[in-house]
Amino acid sequence: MRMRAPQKTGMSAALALVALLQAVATPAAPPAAQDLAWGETLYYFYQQDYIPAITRLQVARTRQELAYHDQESELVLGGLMLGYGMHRRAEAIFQALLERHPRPSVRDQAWYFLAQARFQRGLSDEALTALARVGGDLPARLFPERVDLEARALLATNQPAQAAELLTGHELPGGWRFYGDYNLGIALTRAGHESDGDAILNSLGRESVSGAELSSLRDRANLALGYARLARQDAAGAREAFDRVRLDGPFSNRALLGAGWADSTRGDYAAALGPWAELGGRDPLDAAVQESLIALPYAYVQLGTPGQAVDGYEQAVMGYESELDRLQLAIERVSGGSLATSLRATEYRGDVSDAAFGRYLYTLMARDVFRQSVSGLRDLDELDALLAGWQDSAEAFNAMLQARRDRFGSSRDPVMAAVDHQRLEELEERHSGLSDQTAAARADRDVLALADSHERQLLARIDALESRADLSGTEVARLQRLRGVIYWNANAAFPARLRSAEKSLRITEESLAAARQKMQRIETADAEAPRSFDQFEDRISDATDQIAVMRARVARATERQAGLLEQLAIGELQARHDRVSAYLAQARFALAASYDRATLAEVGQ
Amino acid sequence: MSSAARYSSCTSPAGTKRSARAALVSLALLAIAAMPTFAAEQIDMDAEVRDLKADVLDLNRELFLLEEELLFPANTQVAVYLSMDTGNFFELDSVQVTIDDRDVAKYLYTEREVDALHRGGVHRVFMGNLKAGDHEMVAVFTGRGPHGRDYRRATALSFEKGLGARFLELVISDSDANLQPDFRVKEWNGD
Repeated sequence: MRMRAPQKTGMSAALALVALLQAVATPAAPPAAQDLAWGETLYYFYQQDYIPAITRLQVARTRQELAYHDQESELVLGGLMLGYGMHRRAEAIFQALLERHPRPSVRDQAWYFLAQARFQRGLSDEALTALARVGGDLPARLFPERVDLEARALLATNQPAQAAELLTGHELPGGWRFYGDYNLGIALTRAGHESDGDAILNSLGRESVSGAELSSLRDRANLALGYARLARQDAAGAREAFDRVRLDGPFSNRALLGAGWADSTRGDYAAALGPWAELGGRDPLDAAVQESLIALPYAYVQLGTPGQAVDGYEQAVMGYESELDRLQLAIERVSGGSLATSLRATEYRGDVSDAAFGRYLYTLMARDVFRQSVSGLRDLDELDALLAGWQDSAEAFNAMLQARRDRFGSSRDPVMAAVDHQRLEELEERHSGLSDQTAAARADRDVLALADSHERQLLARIDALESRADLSGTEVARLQRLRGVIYWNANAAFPARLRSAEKSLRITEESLAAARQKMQRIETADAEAPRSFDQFEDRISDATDQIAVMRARVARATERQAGLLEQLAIGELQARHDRVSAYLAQARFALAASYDRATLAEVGQ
Repeated sequence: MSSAARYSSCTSPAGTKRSARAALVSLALLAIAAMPTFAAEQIDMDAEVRDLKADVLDLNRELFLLEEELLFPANTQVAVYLSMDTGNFFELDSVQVTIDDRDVAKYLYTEREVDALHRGGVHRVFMGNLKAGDHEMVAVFTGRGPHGRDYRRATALSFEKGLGARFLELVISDSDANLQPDFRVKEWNGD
């Protein structure tokens, strides 16, 4: 029998490990996410929504979106995989990272949390291997948890002597002491040191404790002690231990049954009637209650009250027969494939309303192996739902791609018609000529090259007038003065005109470059679009094939998992059936014997 | 010896006693033998589920990338995110986002999601496509403000969409100066 450790903060080993590694990886990190993709990952991570969290993080790493959080992303990826049950991949990541981590205390804590995660998955040997890697730098606050975990792992791997040695060598603080004592008592008893184990459990069973958890622990100690003493024929001591178990606690049925055994072992059958009669009014599914049905008339036989014994055996026979009918019906329902459907309908909680087997399911759900199996079914259903969603999406992707192809086809011609290379080249040539002229004007300070249109008209008229032969000397001088004024004005305006002309040329150059770039982009898009459509089509087609293959694999695994669940449930129900059948056979035999004795008594009289 | 054998051992003839005991012992052995086989099968099954998870996750990543590249090409992609700090002055219920007077997203948060936001998570409220040019986004937040009163606030941002992807983050924070929640938009460059 093993005990759970005191309740932790509610954080799983995976979350604790990630929290630890995050804290040491980014000691100066501000609370806000510095990368949006990182924040998105945390959003899912903190909701323990593992599939989107892992996917978002993997995509972010592929796209190199984690400029700030890149270092810690691998740690968190490991933590997410651990939380999602992908232990091997997660541990490979952690081991690689831990081996190069510089701080021993971090390495020790990480190995400890890994051990805890392994133990939670039922991998006790692997948990011990991880614990062996924990050095002497584990923080003091984790020390009792570590001892408790190692002791439980040793007990789980059938090494009670080693567990006892470990627990004897360490004094645990606070509430941990009670758990340590319980496990030590169990370990000593299982290692063959019954009297030492008895002393430890007896002491714990007499402790004054408060709170549901420690009260329950004390009950378990007394129950274990009672049965251990009963096995050693110490009936008085066993009864004393059973009497300390609370009547309203979860272990009371087994304690009442044991108390009756203790009394009958001492030959005090009248005393045994008390606890066994009390059991008769309790949950008829409980194994102890079922056994009490046959125990009670047995006590009456021993007390020499055959009438009450016959009544008792008759009631037992009826009770067992009814129970066997119910079990048979439940076995048939489970064999018919109802179990997985019922579990899905209750979101895998197992609180099914089906009268045939719902009443037995809660006892199955209490077993680790069954819960693990249900968890496997839930994971597979989740994978199938995910793939089914993608299958629908892939069809939509194809429709969308076709629409995009059609739209591209219809808009291509008018767009490509606007791509006029000849016109652009003409404009570029004109720009080039103007640039050369402006450059020449700057180099030669040719102020008239930048004259405005009015000045050009005036100069043209002056040129025309000067070419006439009939001009007087005064008129020639006047035209020269006019030319001089125009030159003077053009010269004064030259720097501003030059700047303006050069600016206009730059703007035109940029516009022409943008137009050329745009045309190139359009041409590139025109050339690439069909290729891109083809690539998308190939990717969608590949993905569709992969989804189909994967769904088939998931379906096969789901069938197998559902079969295993069914097998386990039927095995459990069949074991109950066999046990109740055995009780029934004994009850019938005892009933017949009781009738015989009654007949013989009558004949004798 | 099973406890059930106790009750018959005193009352039944020796032969019956032996057979009853033998039957019960054999049943117990059957139960013991069945469990390791089942556990081994479940361990094998667990390994198969683990492999499937890994393969489906790989495929999921590929499909995620394919979907984004196909539906939201980088040159038109716009995404709106929401983040918040401890939320002492504001308990978020919902957010509504409009872009250019068109409703693009409305989201009602669960307690669990709000908790994830408080712990540093960032929620992608919207992803879509916008042409290059000027746009306006308005976000309306509803929830409980200081003293538990109904609270509704809006924040707006005019932004230019260039050739690359554009990311906008709605940031809800506590303003210790005026003991009120503060709502602002942070722009991220997605190029």
